[in-house]
Amino acid sequence: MTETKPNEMTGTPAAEDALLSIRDLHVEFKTYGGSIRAVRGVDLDVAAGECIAVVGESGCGKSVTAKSILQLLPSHNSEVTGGQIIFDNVDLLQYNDREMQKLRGNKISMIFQDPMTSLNPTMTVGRQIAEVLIKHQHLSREEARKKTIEYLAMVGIANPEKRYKEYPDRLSGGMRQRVMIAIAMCCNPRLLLADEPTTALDVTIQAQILDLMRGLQQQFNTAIILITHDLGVVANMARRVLVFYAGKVVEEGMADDIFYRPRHPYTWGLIKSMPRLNSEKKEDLVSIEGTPPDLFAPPKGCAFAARCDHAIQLCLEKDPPMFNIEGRHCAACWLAMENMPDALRPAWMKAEKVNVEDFD
Amino acid sequence: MKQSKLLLLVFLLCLSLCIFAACAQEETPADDPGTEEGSSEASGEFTVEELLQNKDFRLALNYALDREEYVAVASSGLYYPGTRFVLPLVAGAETTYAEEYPMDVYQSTADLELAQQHLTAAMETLGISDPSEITIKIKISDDEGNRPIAENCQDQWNRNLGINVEIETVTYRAMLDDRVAGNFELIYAGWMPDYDDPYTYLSYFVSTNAQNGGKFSNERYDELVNTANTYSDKATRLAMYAEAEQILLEEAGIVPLQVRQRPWAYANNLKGIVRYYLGPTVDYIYAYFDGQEEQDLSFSQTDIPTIDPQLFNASASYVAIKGYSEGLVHTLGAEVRPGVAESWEIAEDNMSMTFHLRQDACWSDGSPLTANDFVYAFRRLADPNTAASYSWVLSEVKNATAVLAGEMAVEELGVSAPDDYTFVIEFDVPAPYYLSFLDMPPFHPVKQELVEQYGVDYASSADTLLGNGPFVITEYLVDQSITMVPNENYWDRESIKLDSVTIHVMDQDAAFDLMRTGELDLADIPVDVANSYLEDASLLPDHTAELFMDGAVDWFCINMSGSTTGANN
Amino acid sequence: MPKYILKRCIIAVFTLLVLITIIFFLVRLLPGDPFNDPKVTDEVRARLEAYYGMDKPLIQQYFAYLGNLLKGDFGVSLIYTGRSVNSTIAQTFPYSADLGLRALGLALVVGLILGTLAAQKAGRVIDYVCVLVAIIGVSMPDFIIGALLKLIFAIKLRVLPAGLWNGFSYTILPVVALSFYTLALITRLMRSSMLEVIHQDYILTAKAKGLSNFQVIWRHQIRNSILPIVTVMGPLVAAVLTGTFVIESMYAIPGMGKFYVESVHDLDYTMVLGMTAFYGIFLVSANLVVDILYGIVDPRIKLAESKQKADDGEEG
Repeated sequence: MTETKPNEMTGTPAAEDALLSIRDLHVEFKTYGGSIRAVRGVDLDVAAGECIAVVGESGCGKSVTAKSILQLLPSHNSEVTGGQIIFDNVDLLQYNDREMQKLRGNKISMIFQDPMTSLNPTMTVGRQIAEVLIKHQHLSREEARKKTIEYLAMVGIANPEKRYKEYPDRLSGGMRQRVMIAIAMCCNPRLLLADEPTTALDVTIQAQILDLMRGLQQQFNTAIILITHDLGVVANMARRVLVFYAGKVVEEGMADDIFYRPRHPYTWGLIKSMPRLNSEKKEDLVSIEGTPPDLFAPPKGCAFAARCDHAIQLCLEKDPPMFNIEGRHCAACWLAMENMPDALRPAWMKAEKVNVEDFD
Repeated sequence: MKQSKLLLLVFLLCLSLCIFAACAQEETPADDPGTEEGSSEASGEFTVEELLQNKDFRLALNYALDREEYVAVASSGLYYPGTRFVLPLVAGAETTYAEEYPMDVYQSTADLELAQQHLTAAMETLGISDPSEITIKIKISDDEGNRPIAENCQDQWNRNLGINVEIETVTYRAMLDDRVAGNFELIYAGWMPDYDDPYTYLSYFVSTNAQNGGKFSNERYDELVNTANTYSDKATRLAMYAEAEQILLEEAGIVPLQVRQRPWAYANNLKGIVRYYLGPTVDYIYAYFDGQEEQDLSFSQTDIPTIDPQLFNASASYVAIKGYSEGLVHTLGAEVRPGVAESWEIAEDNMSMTFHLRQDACWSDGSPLTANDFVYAFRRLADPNTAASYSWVLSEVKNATAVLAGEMAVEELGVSAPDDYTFVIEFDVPAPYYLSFLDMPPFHPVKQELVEQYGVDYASSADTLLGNGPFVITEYLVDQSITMVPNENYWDRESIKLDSVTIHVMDQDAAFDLMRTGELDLADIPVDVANSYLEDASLLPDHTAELFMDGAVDWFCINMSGSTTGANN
Repeated sequence: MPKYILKRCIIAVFTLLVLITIIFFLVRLLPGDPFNDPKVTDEVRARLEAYYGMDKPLIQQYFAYLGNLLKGDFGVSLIYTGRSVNSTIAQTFPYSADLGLRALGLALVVGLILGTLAAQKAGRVIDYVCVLVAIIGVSMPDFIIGALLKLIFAIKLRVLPAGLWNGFSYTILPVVALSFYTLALITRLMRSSMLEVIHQDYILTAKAKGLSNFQVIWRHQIRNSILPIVTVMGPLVAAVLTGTFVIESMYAIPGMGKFYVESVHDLDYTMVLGMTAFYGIFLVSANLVVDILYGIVDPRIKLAESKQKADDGEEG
């Protein structure tokens, strides 16, 4: 169309040290009402041993993106309509199911949100872990059993021999999530996809689980894609953060960049909406006005424009590309374009380090 | 929670015990509400009882029926319309009783004029102005065949006489009870003959017969039937029976309905099977396959509860028992031939019979068979401890009734063996017809040591019985199958051409299918499809379809006792 | 667990007692008389009744019957002279059980497969075909299916026998006919149960482990879908195993089915009671087995007691 803008990021080749590289992923869901365009051109890189966070509200496409890495989307109504997912120099989207099975639980693992329903109620805990070992490492029953007990201990479960024979209904939520982690980690995967692993747990248990994950990550040098809508979790765990909105990445950067130098109005809205324990005055919780757009027919302009306090005419007409801010920090906002008049930018967008209270 | 459940169950148990014990005390047949209108008819001054006792009305019922119509409707024309009571096939002096003594009281078509005359006369006597005031009830059982006939008669009487008819259905057993108790207005009845003599039919309507629930009563009839047996000349007897039958028909004691015929089919090359209304329904003893090596016969019966001769209680057992056992005589169709007895004499006054047994008579294991074996068998039949349901066949034998009631010892029974090869039966009443009767299983010999050895288990398997008949049982699975091979010690072994006989027990329809696929060699054809097979031979290319008269006669019994609820019985 | 079973057994025995009592009196309320035959004279009838103890007061007969029952003696048939009910059952039950077990086995295997297939391919043609089969099986009475099969394969095509029970080829048609209804039932139950299971989270976990499709279905889906079928199996087993009158009669199989119908028709009191007691025992046992099976198949159903004991897992 027109010439590239100054700091527009063109399709960068996968970073040489990227373990996983998603390029321009498009995913659609077919329903009676039409097609939902759930993921509309997502780029994502993860380096070996790196922990990145993917944040966004429900329905923004983060879970779908993760599941599409392992081809775990329901085949009868979902379809990947474009893009590549490169892992170990192979485009995973070209793999058939048999080839994916070799990867799942083995090189790439996934854990899910609700530990209460994520384990088979009629199979013992130990067996559910052991079957992964047997499948991928071809261990005998007895060898697998021994290793499983080790892993149970490793994820912090007391009395692992006893627990091996128990059924999930005897375990609490936190313990079940530990079992899920054991299942995911027992074959030393290179990449762990964690889809909101702590959302269903108490806050105190949350911290324990996150600690566990961090410990294991360091021990096994596993990369983690941590999906969450809770920025508090992000702060603890991730080095880099991607912010999703309406099926696209709207801002990406190191954790510090995102927290202290947000450059996309949606990111700013998220940060502002975090409840703070240390504020003196009584105040209402801040929320972002409006609702996400209808993904049956996404707007032609910026998907956030309707809710944005700082939207300009351009925003409504053309969808902004990703603009580089500094280093690995980039944002998909017209106001992030270099030669935008500064006057259009709000104060927080120009600050070097924001303090939320200062900008109420 | 569990305790209250337990309590509930206990309560239920006690409650049910109480209720049903109470009900059981009151169980009497007379409580049955046989007819609502019954004894007190609101309209008019006549009662149903009076109506049924009116001879003109009964004659009107008979003349108003087109018997060919209901035969066409109910059995697709398979059965004969019944215009008399005694079976046409019964032996006469030279030919058949029916030929020698035809009855023309009723025809197979209706005589509407005559019917109307009688109805009008009846109505006048009873003071009825309109036939539609009349309602009568026919009681039938829930067995399939009865309903179409009853419905057609209902239709015809309504059409031709203008009266109302209702049909009441009860279970088969209940119908039997009601018939004896007199708990009916009109009731379906059927009869199978026991021997080749009109007496087996006509004795039913003797006024003292307990089975005569309708209480038909005629002095002259009683006289004829009861004394006919004292005459040794067959022609004389038959003439007396014919006169009695005429009275029965002229008095309209019954509404004759039909004479049954049974359709069946058999393999084209199967010869020598005899199916007759007397004897076993399938007589296979001299059967053979024409033009083939294999001589193994296979067929089936619907039910064979037991093959113990004295405990015999169902006609299908007759077929099985006659294979391995033989009595004094051996009937084949209408013929009475020597069996174990080579010859016999009947006393002039018909009060006794003497049989001369073969000197070489033996059991299938070769051991000798003597007249004492017959004495033992008859005494076993008469012994109240045996509880034989067919012990009634002994009724005519001297002292039998007393022995059966336990009033006399079995040794008092009127049978004796003056020597090993002579057997004598004495009667209380003249019984000239008794000869062909003796082919029946209850009269077959049994070996005393074996019966005493096995007790209740006698004849429960091939090892626990011994016979003297044309075949020997090699395998017996109770109520399932019987396999037999020729008895090498049988006196007439040369006449037996089959190598084996297998009798299965199964449902009639299944048997027909198995005949079609070749597993069985003969089978009855289900009545509702019989006509197509009888008319079109190409439907069964390897088999021949035929009809035979199996002796069953159906009629409506009319209640002339004066009470339709059994109060007068 | 043992305490539970003992309690269930006691209740079972009690249930049977109530059942037998009710039938004992009920069957005698039926109009008619087992010994009433037009040719049987009154004296003979009286003797027959005395022989079978039927001239004594009803309560006395009842307790005599119970006494014999405790010794395992079901009594002697009134119509099949000399034959004990025990030996009748002993001779005919193996045929019914053989027929029933084969039918049940076929129904289970085919039903589970069809149900699984339908659930896995929900909404597609195979699903509709399976559901159609299920609807036909449930709607068509077994005598129609039995007669049709016999007509086509035995009489017209002559490839299979039309009856009797003398070898494997004889079992094919009756077993298929008998299995149809149960097969249909299991198909539908399995389908709906599995459809629910398929969408559960733990199935996604199983897939995420890299298990093959077959392993996911076999190890994770089937065991969780099968519970409703286990529930239904109890009464179903009892019914199918104790003989079905129609199929046995149609295919000339000497099983016990016909006694259920004929003994009532003939008013053979002891046989009716014997059959009822036998069926009752079977049904109660089958239900007990089902209850125990529950505990094995689904460990969550811990049969009440042990759940409270060890809820010590709240470490987090």
